[in-house]
Amino acid sequence: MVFTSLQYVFFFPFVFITYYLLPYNKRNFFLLICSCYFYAVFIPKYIFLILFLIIIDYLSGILIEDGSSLFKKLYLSISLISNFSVLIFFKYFNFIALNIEYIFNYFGLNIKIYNNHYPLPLGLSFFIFQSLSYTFDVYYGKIKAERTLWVYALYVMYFPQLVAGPIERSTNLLPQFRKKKIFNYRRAIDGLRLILWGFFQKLVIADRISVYVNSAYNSPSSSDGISLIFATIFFSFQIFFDFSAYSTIAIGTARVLGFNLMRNFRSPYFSKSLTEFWRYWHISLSTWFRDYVYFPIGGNKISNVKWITLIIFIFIISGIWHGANWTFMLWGLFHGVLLILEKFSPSIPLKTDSANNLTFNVLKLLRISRTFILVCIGWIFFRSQTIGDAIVIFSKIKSVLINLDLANVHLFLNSIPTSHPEFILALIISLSGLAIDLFSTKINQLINKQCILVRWSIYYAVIFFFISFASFHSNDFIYFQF
Amino acid sequence: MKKFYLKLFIFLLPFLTLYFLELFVLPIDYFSFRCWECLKTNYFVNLLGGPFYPNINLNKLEEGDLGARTKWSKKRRVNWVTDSYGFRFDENRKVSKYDIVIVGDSFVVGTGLDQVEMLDNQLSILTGKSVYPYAPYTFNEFMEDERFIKNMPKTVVYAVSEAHIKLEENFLPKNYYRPILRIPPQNVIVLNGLIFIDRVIKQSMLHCSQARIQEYFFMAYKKYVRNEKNYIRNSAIVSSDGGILFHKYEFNYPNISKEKITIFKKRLLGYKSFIENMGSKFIVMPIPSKSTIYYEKVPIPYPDGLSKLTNHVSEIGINIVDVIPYFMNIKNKKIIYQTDDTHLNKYGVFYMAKILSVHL
Repeated sequence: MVFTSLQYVFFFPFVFITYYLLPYNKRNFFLLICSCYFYAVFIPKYIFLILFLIIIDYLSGILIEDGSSLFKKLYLSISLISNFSVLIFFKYFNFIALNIEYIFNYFGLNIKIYNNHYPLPLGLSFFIFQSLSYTFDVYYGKIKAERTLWVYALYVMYFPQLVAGPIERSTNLLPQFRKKKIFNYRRAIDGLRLILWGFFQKLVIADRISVYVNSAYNSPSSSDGISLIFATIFFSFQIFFDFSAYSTIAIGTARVLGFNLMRNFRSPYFSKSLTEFWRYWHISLSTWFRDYVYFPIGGNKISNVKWITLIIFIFIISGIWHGANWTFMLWGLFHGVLLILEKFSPSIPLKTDSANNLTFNVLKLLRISRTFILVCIGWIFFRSQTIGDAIVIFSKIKSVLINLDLANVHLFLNSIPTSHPEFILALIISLSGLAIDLFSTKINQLINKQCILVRWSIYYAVIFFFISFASFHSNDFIYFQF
Repeated sequence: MKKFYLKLFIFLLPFLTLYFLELFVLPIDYFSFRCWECLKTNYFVNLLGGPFYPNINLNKLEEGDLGARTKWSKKRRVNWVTDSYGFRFDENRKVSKYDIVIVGDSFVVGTGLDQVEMLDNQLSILTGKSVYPYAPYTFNEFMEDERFIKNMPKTVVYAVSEAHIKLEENFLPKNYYRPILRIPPQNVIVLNGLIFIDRVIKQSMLHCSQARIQEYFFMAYKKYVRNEKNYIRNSAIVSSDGGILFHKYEFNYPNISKEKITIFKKRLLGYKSFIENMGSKFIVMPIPSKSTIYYEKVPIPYPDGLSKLTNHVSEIGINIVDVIPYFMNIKNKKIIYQTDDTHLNKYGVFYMAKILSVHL
């Protein structure tokens, strides 16, 4: 079930009303049933796959906690192997097989490896990583093993974040299932506000922008350089709003039901460096890699050479996590290399005591712009369907920029499609969305201070704008494919 | 919590009121300029039996899909009647076995035309035979409809518009063949209940409101930013003489690959074999786009893609009716397409029926 579907509009109120009507000890089980239904709407038989992994990790958790130090590693390994086997089979098997075939064919040995025709289970990468965070946390002693199977099952399958995150931590989410939830008016309103904002991000901003992106990126060879530049910039907005929308709706839904999920984005496009960008983009995944791969292997305490290798490894894996394609790997590698360069290159420190200084603000703006441009370059790999497409896009953009100088910048400006009102609308909506996202906390506080008449007027205005410009030809959320 | 529910209810009251008005007070065709959108089955297609709501009799003042709410709009009053299966067909003309069934799209449905001006009706008058319009459905769907498998007509005409030929579509393979008996519920309460739920899901008021608001936005932008005096819909372009609207992205098959022609021929041979095995006759009649006939008004170079495709198909022994030469001869005597719509007008349909009657 997709959040932006009509089904969800009926599903969520039903869950909400029934949840608070039920006695406390029945609520978690009810949420589990709803989560199973939520997932089964996609492909019903995959419920058994997720339940299989749940049982493996549930038993692993208990055995890790109760076992001796020798067997702890064994049970952790069983959990890791089971989860990664499923992930590799469904997500990477065909990619691996294709590349092996290519290598053999290159040497004249024609082979054909079996192709896996099973569709990718929705949210596979997300719930596997969430499940593994539990077994790791039990192994490291951060949390006690969950002894009730259906509470653990609910932790993995909790419907707001099941399909596209945020990838929750057992230390955050599991204990919440044990706490008694009393309806809180303020929290419910906050949750509904987040849901409204999430719908706005997805249907008004992300889906509206996708038209430009798809028209250029689906056939880059027939698009000109300027269209590709704008498509790349728009894609950076699209992927942010699309993914942020899902997380926002998930967090809002959970909040209405009394749960707190971790925040997944913190205005990442206003980051002053790539290091900062990765602190604020897809926070749940980047912290997962930090806590379960980076720190256990050594983190900052290892030699420079080992650190460089570790960073490259993590970012390549992070790229592959997104999909079985060389383009994702290149995207990860691109960011890894830039992070390394950033660490070892000197930079002018921004002095915080000169916050009102013009130089400080100009420097900050330049750094934000630089980071944004670098991230956009990375998105070219991410969005391209093949490496060949990415090369075509780069060469077309390069030819535009090489010919750009002060003498002909007016030609460049004239070729921007301002004659298309849809283009202008998409641009205005995207930039406004970024600004709202940046000041979301202050905006929220400001709204809370107003009287009911003003607050409702704002909500009605947002809904009116939503109705006016939402794209109801619903595209799937981008991160569903991961 | 009661306070929350109460406030939420009051907050949603305007929307609930509008929804109530849409579903219980306003007429079914209030939010569209065409009967098609009002009556099209959105969700319960198989349960309701056909493409439109069954047993409907609607009289409406329509506008063309290209010129609605512009100075080029030519309003016309049309009558739409659907049968018990949800097809645009008068139940009074119903027979157990039809002489001719025409499978096609919006052209066969008679978009922008009155019921009596439809192709099936005009053909029936010309030939004296019973004709049924199986539209807007694909030929694959026709082959799966048990209603016609059990009572195959003597002649089946595949009358598909140029824009919807879909060269890459394959013939329905045997292992995917799933005959379906589409009969709408006989119980009036169940039928009306399904139609009601379908309208709830369709959300006509929401889509109409959005379309209007966006239209006003783009109208204002074009008027005040680009100084365009006459508003024209985004999908439309005006002919060189300013009198006819064309679809901006109308498809004329400029270049067709050999591979796609092969797939198309294979598909048609599949249909022919299927129909002839049932003892019936199979005829193909592609309907050209407006810009294929009035290409000089667009202006575009003479689009011969459809003619070439027709020639390829006739080479493999398929009975194909090429209407293009006839339309080219008469196009200047009488305009045969609706000026504010992509579809044929009553004259175009009449000529098409006349040409087809010769081939029967």
